[in-house]
Amino acid sequence: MRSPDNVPSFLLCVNEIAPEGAVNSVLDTIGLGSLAQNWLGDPGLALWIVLGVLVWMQLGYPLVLFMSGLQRIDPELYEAASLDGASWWQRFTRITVPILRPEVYVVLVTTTIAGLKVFAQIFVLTGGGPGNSTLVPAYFAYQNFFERADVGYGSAISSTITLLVLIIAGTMLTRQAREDG
Amino acid sequence: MTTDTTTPVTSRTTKTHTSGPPAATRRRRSKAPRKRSTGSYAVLAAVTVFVLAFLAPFAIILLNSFKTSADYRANGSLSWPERWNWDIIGDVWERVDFTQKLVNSIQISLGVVLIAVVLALFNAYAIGIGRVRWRTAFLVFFLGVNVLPQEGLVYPIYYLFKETGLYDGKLGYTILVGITYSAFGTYLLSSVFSSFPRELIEAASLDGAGRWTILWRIILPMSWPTLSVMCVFFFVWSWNEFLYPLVLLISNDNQTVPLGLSVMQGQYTSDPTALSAAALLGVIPMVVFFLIFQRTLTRGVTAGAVK
Repeated sequence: MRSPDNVPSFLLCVNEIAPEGAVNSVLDTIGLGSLAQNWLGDPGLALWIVLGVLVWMQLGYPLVLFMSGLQRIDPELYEAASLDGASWWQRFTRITVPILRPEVYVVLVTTTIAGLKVFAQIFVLTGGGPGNSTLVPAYFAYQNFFERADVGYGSAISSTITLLVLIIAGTMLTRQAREDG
Repeated sequence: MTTDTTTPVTSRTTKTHTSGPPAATRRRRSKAPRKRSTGSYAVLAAVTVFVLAFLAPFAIILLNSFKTSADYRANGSLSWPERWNWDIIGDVWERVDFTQKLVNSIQISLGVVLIAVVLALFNAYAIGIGRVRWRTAFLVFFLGVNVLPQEGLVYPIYYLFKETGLYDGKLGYTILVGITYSAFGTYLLSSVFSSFPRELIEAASLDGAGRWTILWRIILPMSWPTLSVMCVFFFVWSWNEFLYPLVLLISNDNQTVPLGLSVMQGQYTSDPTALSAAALLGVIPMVVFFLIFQRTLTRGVTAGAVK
């Protein structure tokens, strides 16, 4: 239920995608120098870059979760399926995915909640800018609380986030409880 | 986030380890080695590329942290440093007062672990073993605290801390985070304790063991695997905590590592080598911690996630 807010990693990303940073250097080296640009400075692009950074940060948790889930699958199932002529893709979609469904569900819910609550990433990477192109609710609430001293407005935003998170978490828990019997 | 426990997870994993996979690989190898080889090499190559892409940023900051600004401007971010110099790292260390930040982070994280685990242990003992009345209501309450996002609580807590004089103090902050984590700990431990073998407790109390003795001599040693996972995780969580310390620990002497470093980003965006060094300084403690507690961490990630 907890998103990894690892600030050093964001700093690292800032460094890579800076105008003079590694991403642009790589593009230059492989002859795509025309694609190089100020990644976080473009309002149309900044949000996608932040999204990419978030995905990079979050990837570890689903990976470990899925790997531990895979150990639960009985190899005999694959054996039987391939004897019946199932292709690699069929075995994946008919055996692996259905058995990993609880994990998929948990990952979906936790990452959705983490996405709703994004704060540190925005604070470190963009500060909501350029313009308001990467402004997210949690950061907007923070701005209202501590920069504009507009506590009422900030409270409304943060209450809405809280409500959304509670609804999603509640749905998840009741569904899980129902599936457990 | 279910009523699952750590112990069943691990026992299940080890069980399948011993019975399942070895047999599977043996069979797979004997059956179709030729048909698989090209495909599996392709997968291996893809995974290798993926892992390299995942790790490349770390390699690059490692390189850039040791370059001088002139070197960086002349040769860009991908080149090997002309010579490895520690000046930039030392400089950033001093500017951020990294020693102080490290001490703060360690103090706070250890305090949080202590408060959270001890509270969770007592709570869970009452709920899981003692079966107090209203225990389901208590559990729902702890679960609610656990689900509640910090974003919704941060202003009320800020206000409370201001009014009570706890603002900008490590002690108040440690207690706050410790208590927040103890909600998760209580939830996790209660479900572990509720499946604890009752016979053991009954046998012990027949032999005249009081509640304290049962807790210290029986429950604590037997739930040690779960407790160690909790300790390690609380430490990492509290280390990476950002929003609360940003709001509650404003003075330089109280800030934690992530906060101290995040300041760098605002001040030195035009100084990429310093920024690299800051990122490196921030990443190193967690890498060291990961190397030490690797097994516990990987065991714990799945704890309480899926039934």
